Amino acid sequence: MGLDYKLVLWNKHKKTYDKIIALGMLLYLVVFVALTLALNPETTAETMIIRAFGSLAILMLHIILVIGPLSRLNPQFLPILYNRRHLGVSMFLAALVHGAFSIIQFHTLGDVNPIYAIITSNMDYGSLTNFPFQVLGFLALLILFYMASTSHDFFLKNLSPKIWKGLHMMVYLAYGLILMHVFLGAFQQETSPFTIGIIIVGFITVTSLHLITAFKESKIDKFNSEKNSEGWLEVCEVDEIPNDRAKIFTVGNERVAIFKYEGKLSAIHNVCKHQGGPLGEGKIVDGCVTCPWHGYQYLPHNGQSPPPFTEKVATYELRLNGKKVYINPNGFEEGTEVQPVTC
Amino acid sequence: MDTIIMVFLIILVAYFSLGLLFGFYFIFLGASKVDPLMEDSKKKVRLLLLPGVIATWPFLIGKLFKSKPVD
Amino acid sequence: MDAGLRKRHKYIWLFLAIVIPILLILVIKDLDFSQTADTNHTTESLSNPIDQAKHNLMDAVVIEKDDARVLEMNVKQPLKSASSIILSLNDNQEIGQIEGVGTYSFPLKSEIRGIIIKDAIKNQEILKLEF
Repeated sequence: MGLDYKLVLWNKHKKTYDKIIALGMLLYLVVFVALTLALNPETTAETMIIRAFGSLAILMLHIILVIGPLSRLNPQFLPILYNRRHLGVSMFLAALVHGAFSIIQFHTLGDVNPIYAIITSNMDYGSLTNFPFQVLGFLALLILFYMASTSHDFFLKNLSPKIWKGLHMMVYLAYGLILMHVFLGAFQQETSPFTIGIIIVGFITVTSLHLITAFKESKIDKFNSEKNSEGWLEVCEVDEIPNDRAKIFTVGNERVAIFKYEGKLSAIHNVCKHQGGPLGEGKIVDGCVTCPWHGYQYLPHNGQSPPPFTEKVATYELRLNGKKVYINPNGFEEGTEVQPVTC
Repeated sequence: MDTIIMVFLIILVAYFSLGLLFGFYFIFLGASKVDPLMEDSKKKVRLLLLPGVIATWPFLIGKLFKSKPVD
Repeated sequence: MDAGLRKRHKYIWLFLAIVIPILLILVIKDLDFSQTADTNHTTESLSNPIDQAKHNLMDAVVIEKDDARVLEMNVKQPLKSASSIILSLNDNQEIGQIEGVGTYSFPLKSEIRGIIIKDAIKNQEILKLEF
């Protein structure tokens, strides 16, 4: 949140994470080069750079892909999620070095345009095993460029969160392309069981984590509570909600967070307008619901960000019957003021 | 196959060249019309946004036309 | 994330979990391991050469072994290309691949006039040896 856009939104924690990313990348490259020199001293410098940066990018992509589900399964991983953007951009840079060196080494010696050469040097498009794997890498790099270059709040806001999220979900397509790029490349060039084994282990890890999380979450989404005669849903007892915190419920198809603060109850839509963070997992800070992902804030009684900010989320009507909390599943327009229920 | 590849490459080159032209106009002039937060943003920030504008210009150009002029 | 996005994520991962293994299996099935499996470095003596060719980068010898023709290669200097394949001079069929200095042996399906060493990625000829 700011009144003008900053180059990078850095704070003390993010700087620490960035240092860890940079050091980690450097360490990996050094170890890779050292191992290559020890095990395969004939490798040329170009080949070494291509392989070191390529494998580094893949390793980072795997880390990026597991952060999401891990932080759903265990909130201790949440701090890494906040820094995923920088990890993503660094991963793109590593992939770019890999791509640029590959183009220089393999395709700049001819008399045709190097990009043209990538696509046409192997025309075996009809074959599966001999499919031109470099084209797959090139397309994946193009997708990663889209994602890295729009990794700024300016684009999130001006492309609209929907388009932005759609663009960034293309990472899954890129992941598929990269997997095939490595499989085919490894098969066509050296039939290296080691490379293929590692990639398969990575794929199984990432996919199973995502699927475990997805099935766990869809169980929550399917949860339906009892409706009373007027169509209100009974959700819980007042004491189940901790002070200055919320409990999340599925109402209709959406998740709603019911917050308890200063002896009052308010309900707002659980999804932050910034990047879709779970508001109900955040705390009330200075009287505002604070998103656990990036700290965006909303007033609990009207779902509006305090001025000068303009984000708004939907609000819901609550009712208290003894200790039992009821919610009207039909939410109000985003930013509608609702009288909090005293408890 | 050759024609498909040529068409793909021509589209790719055209897309990014147009993006580059639009990009320079947008980051220094157009962006402030779309997003008031851009008015006070520094030059470095604008340059950082350039690659993204080149990549996503078809989305932004629509937004620029729809935006009302700033007084 | 809202319910719609969660659903999209779930379907994308289900799709990847099914499609990627299928593609991988098809790729492996299509692959002929018989040639590459024989690229073990051997130190067998070159008993009865049928054809041979020498070059300062490598020597190539065709020998008769257990009623089959075998191409034995001795690569003396490291190759600049990241990935080099050996093709038959007769019909451009792939015989095998070489990774660095060492001795290799590849079974031959038919008689060959010579071999071409090619950079698999650049699709460029590195060396031509005729017997």
